[in-house]
Amino acid sequence: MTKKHIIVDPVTRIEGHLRIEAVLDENNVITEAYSAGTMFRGIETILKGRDPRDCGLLTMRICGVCTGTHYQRSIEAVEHAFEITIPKNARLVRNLIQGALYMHDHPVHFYNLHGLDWVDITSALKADPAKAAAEALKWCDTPYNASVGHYRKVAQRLTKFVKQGRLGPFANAYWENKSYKLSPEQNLVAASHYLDCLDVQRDIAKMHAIFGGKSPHPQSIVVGGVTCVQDIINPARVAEFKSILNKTLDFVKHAYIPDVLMAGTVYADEALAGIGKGVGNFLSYGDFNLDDLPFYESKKLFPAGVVYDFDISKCYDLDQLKITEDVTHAWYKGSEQLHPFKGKTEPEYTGYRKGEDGFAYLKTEGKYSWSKTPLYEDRVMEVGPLARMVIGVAKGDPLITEYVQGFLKRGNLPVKVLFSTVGRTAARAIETVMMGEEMLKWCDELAANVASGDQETWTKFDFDRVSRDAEGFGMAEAPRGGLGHWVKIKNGQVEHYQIVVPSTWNSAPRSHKGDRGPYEEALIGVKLSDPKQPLEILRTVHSFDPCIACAIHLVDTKGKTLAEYKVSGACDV
Amino acid sequence: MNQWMTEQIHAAHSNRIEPREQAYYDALFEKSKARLESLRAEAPLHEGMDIHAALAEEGMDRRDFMKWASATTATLMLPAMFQPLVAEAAELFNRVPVIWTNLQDCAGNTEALLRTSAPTIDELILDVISLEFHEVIMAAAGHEAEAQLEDAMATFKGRYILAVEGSIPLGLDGQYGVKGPHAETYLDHVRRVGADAFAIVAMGSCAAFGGVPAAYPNPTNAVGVKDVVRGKPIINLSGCPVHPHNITSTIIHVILTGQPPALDNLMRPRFAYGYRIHDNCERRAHFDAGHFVEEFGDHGAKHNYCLYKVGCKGPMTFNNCSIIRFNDGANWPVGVGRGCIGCSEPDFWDKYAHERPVAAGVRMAPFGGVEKSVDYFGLGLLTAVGIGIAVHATASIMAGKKDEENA
Amino acid sequence: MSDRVRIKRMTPAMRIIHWATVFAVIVCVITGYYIAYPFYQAQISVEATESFVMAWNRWGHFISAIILDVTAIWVIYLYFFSRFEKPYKKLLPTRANIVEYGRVVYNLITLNRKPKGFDTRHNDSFNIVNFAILHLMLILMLFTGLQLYVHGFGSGHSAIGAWWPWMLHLVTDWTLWAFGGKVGVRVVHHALMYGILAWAMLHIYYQIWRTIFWREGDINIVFGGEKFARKRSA
Repeated sequence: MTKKHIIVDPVTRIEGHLRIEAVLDENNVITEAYSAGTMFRGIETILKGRDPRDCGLLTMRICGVCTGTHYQRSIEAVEHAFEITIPKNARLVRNLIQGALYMHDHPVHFYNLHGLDWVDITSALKADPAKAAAEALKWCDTPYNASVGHYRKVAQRLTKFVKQGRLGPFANAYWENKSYKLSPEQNLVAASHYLDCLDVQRDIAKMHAIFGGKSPHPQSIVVGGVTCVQDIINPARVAEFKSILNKTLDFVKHAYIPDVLMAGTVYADEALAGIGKGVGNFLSYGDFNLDDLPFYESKKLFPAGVVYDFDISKCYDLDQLKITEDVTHAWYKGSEQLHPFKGKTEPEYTGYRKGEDGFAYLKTEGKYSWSKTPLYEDRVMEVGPLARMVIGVAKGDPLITEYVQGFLKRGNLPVKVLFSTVGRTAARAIETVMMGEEMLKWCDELAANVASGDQETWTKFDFDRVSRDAEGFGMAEAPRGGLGHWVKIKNGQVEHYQIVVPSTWNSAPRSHKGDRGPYEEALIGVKLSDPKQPLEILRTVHSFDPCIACAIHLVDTKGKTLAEYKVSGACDV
Repeated sequence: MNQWMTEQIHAAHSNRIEPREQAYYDALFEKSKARLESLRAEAPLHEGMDIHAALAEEGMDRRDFMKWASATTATLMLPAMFQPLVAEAAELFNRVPVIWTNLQDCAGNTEALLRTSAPTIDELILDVISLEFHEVIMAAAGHEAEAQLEDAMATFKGRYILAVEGSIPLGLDGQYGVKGPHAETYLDHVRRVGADAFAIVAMGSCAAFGGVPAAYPNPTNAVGVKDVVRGKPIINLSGCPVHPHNITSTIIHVILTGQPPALDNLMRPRFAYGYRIHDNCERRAHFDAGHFVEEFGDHGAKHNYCLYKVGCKGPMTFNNCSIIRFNDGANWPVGVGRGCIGCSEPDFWDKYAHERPVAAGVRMAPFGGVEKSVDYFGLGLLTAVGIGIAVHATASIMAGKKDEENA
Repeated sequence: MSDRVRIKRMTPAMRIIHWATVFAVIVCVITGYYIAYPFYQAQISVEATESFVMAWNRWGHFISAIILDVTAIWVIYLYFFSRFEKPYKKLLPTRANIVEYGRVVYNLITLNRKPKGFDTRHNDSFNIVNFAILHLMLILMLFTGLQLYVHGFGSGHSAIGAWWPWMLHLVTDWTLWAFGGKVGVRVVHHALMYGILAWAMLHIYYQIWRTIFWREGDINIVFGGEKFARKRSA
């Protein structure tokens, strides 16, 4: 059997539009992989000329899943340019809004997006509810919603659903693939949490809405602070927030964490073999200010830093000037690596190659993605929860180290297990618990601060003066990793805007040196048990929690010049 | 046809509400009954998926269900006699397949769908609804996902509802957005899948009017569904994102009557978009009284004053947010003191989404982002007139009072 | 002053219309400005039910608009059926009208140094064209304003019945088409205010200029309804 070239497009259960192509050898092991973003909107072009205070709302619409995170980064970039430090109440509320996003995003990702890569719904039908209840107790003393009766009900509900013919979202999937390793009982436990999560996440989103106005796309953050002073000074609102947070933590601690431990243990061999370990370079911008110093001088919950080649004994300081973007393999003009403040790129679309089988293939020797390749010191980097945990440990951050070690100890797993598809998923879960517990403290801090008489939520500034000529950046962590917005402002208008997004770091095509992007690298060595079913590809790619709408953007092109690059019949080459 | 022309033509539909007589409702009632009968006759998609059993599981009995049906009937602005039919339509919900496709989007509307209010039937219906294809939720990917789409389209030809999320780029021959193993452009995709749909629902402002990608200068020449698909009933559910309650109500209406609900001149259901946010706003009293927030965090902000001066666009925006609020009534943008950004109106990114009063910040795209263009234009005009008068007056005085008599 | 004769130029009805329009435009501009940029706050010590600052401003705006509405209908009627003078006759692009228009403009730009060559005893076509421009602006203002007004009748009902919003939609929905949606209508409504203000500046200046340089007491037309004219020596 010769090498097979497979296409996965659309990659589902992610935000946005992603294509993965992989080349398999005779043993169905991936030897080469390509990742391509297939949709482009030109957000940065749209931002040019706008009032910098309005950019936050628009950049938020880059993504409806990591909703609010672009919003806050954009506002922070402008605040950095204007040298504004926000009041304590505003800082805490922003932390709570952003934290609520983590609390929502991570469980939903694990169960409703990523979960079906681990959990075989059809296998769950064979499970014995009593054994399932016993199984749940193995991983947690007080498991979530885990009575025999409940499992029986879930099994009945699923059986009914599967028997009725049309499977809706579960149709045509990869059930009974060999790479589903959980036992029927374990599948039932996880499947029941899949349904629980659909229910719980609605409440979690309410936290987002209490201070944000709505979810998705909250609206209460403005340059200078936040607007929801009414909700801040009302103790009932903080209490409501806290009550939902407690419920969420209950779900996270008694369903999410045990299930990750369970999956981690079952798939430990793969994890220890380093399946999906990726590029090994980790980057974190740091986020969640813990004091009221200016943004980049403040102590942070997640420390900033850089780790190379899986070496957690050394952690380097972050220098934003070392970030560049490369477009050698992206559908933009040029081949230089430019810092986001200077990045000048124009689209240069080269289309697809039509294969003999009638499918369209990426022209991987040249440009093949709308996603650029961000580089740090000329190296591709992985960002995300794993990077945050790795850097926290490497920097010796006591809080993060405690949580990571606690988790590993509980599952009796070595540190090495983290550098894998499973590890990436586990890091996300660890982070969720930590975030939830910190948020509880922030709620109390907010209530206490308001009770002490501080009702400030907004810092006044003279827009006409500060916006004459300014530049700034908002670099912090989104749930999916380091997110940076760079902005230059002149005469009250945005002159230049550039966004480097976590999923751009992760979904990047090859660099100019030929280094694979993190998705691409992580796929190397992944073995498909059935080459017709790209389940393992999905599992590894999903472990990064891709968010492709975020990843694709463009700088500095005037709308009208786009016509120049119009190509006809791009696919017929 | 260019986008501007299409906008004009759609805007030309009158927004007035034709008075409806009992005869109209009687006819609609009969039509709905016949439709539900025909639906019932169709093979159910979800054998044994009885809504009452599902509801009972969630602790909702027949009584609660009828209460829900009566509230939904009112939402849809139908007379009370429709209530049993609404209940029946809900029971038949699982007969109607939905294909949901994501184009130039941010998945915000999908997220909104996930957040339907608890503890409710709406969510249950979504549990029971036959969601045949939805990239963000479905288990299958790649070729298998494509095969699932083909299968659903063939099986339910002419019967499925197509939900579109995201705009459609026309620039670069549509190559700014492609999907599937054949790298089909979004334009071809939406036309192909739309051709066999029973009706198309544009979810969110991008699918309805172009939204974010179509904001000035619209680099990818993005348009809404109505600009590229012809000959199908299209319902625009605008909003950024659309309120999930409006999604479920609209789908119920389509199932119930077999036709889109009454639409306004922008093809939005009148039951949701017929009201101005301003007219049902909790801060309206402060607007009338002249109590305004001058800047965020001031005395007024702490006392729930009107947000008009810090840019609330409620007076220009038609939607029901001020009535139903968001996330289970948790809050809404005016509630958090920011104000409305007009997200359910066309071109809101260029005309509404800013922190200045309605009159101050109209971004006139052709002039490249000059704000306050009306006032600049106006003051310029008055200055020019003033100068003209001054010059003429000076010249006249210098020339002296001469006329035909002493000329 | 035996060489001068009194000439009746405006009937009492015309003067009432003139001053009603002046009054209504001033009120509309001030209240409209407040509606666009609420430049002062209500007394916070007063309860909301008693201050109603914005509400009164809007009330004033609408009442003035109704005055303009009614006078507009009256004016349109008079354009065609006035027994005193029928202004539409001066609007027709006849040779005589065009020549007269040219001569008045010539008189204005030559600073009244040449013989007039037109009859100053009647309303000339230049003036009538100017008034027609104003009236067109006012009517457009009414259509755009009523379109903005009807936005509040989302339900299709009003206190005086469903016919009222129905009729407003019928009469004004074309503005949505013409100006590209609600924002366009608002922009036109806003911009026209400046047009009317500019027009008023020109109008007042020109009438004063005429009074001073023609020395025929033109300014009295709008107060007493009469002016002088010299007896034609020829």
